[in-house]
Amino acid sequence: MANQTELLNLLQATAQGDQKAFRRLYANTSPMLYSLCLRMLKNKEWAEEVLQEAFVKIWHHASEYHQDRGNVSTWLTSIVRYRALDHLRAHKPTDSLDDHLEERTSNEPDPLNWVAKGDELNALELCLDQLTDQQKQLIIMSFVEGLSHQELMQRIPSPLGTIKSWIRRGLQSLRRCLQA
Amino acid sequence: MNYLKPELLEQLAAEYVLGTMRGSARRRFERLMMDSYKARNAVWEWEQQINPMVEALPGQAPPRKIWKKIEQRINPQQQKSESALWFWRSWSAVSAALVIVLAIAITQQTLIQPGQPDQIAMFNDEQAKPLWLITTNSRTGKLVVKPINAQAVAVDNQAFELWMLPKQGNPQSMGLMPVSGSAVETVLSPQLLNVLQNSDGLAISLEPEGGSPTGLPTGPVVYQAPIVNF
Repeated sequence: MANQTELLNLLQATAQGDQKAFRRLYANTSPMLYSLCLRMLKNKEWAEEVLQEAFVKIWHHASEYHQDRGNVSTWLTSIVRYRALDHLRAHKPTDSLDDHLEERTSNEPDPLNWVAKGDELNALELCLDQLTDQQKQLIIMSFVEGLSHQELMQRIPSPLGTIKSWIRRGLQSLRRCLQA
Repeated sequence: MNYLKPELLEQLAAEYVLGTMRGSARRRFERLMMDSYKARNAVWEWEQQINPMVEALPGQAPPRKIWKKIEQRINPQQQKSESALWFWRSWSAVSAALVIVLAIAITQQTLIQPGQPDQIAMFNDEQAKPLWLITTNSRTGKLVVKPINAQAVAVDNQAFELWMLPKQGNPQSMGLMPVSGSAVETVLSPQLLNVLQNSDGLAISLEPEGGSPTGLPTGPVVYQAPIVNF
């Protein structure tokens, strides 16, 4: 993926209506974001739909990006994730689990095995390693797969209160570590 | 619930970003974000903390059709034009026949004088209404573009560029098309005139303001027309 300065230039040109810049922004970021969509939605058709909707939104709202939102990748990721979460809420996941896709993604590298890329990811990786195994797993699974508390209970069989508490404490520790 | 206690706001923002906050609680928090800068800011901070997790995923290129769909949705004109192109192609024989009838009618009424146009091309919209009429004189190279109803298909911040489609080789630009006003005249160089005489037809592409930066069509070809000699 291109560096953040290049992505910012492309996003700023996109905000001016430059479709070629937008196409390059898409080319640079869509593999990562599509990968996220596939993991969250576990359905190829939905993943394609969400990616498409998210990028239409990015085109129309490019001028609303500002630095308080973090770097460009962070902003794009937020748009895609919230769109995917809305999609999950509107559809019952049990109705449309794509078995083939489920099988295929499960053979891919475990999201817990990090491929460190940027400083921010490195810091996050280090801080996630400070958490207990349950806390780390729950946070990664809810982020990468968009799982609800109930779905997390099926993955790590424990009472709802315990799951919620692990997540809460995990997030608090994570924040302390990242701000340290 | 007092959302504005900093620790609680932070916790809610974290669960909102992570996605474990669902249902009515999520909707309530979204309403709070609309009202409260503190809530929005707490969410933005958490996004910056945990969104980099996505970079650890192995990238997977989406199918090519997704970009095509995005392109169509952000540019309704193009979608319309693509259907126009389809329409035009399916009716091209009919349109060409009409142009020929028109040409014959013209030649029967007036004997062609040297300097008068002897080639004609008409660009139509999907309802077969004329958008531009182009006439040329193959001896003098004079080319006249008359916008008829082109204003109706104009796109903000984009330009229509006219191209010749040689039987061999790349399209050759003939300049930007006026979308309103009176007819525009130009004289083609002998070289361009020669290309025109050996062209299969004309095409119009949608380009950035000022025209294609590369010298070749960069945007979609939105209209095509054959050249009719008379």
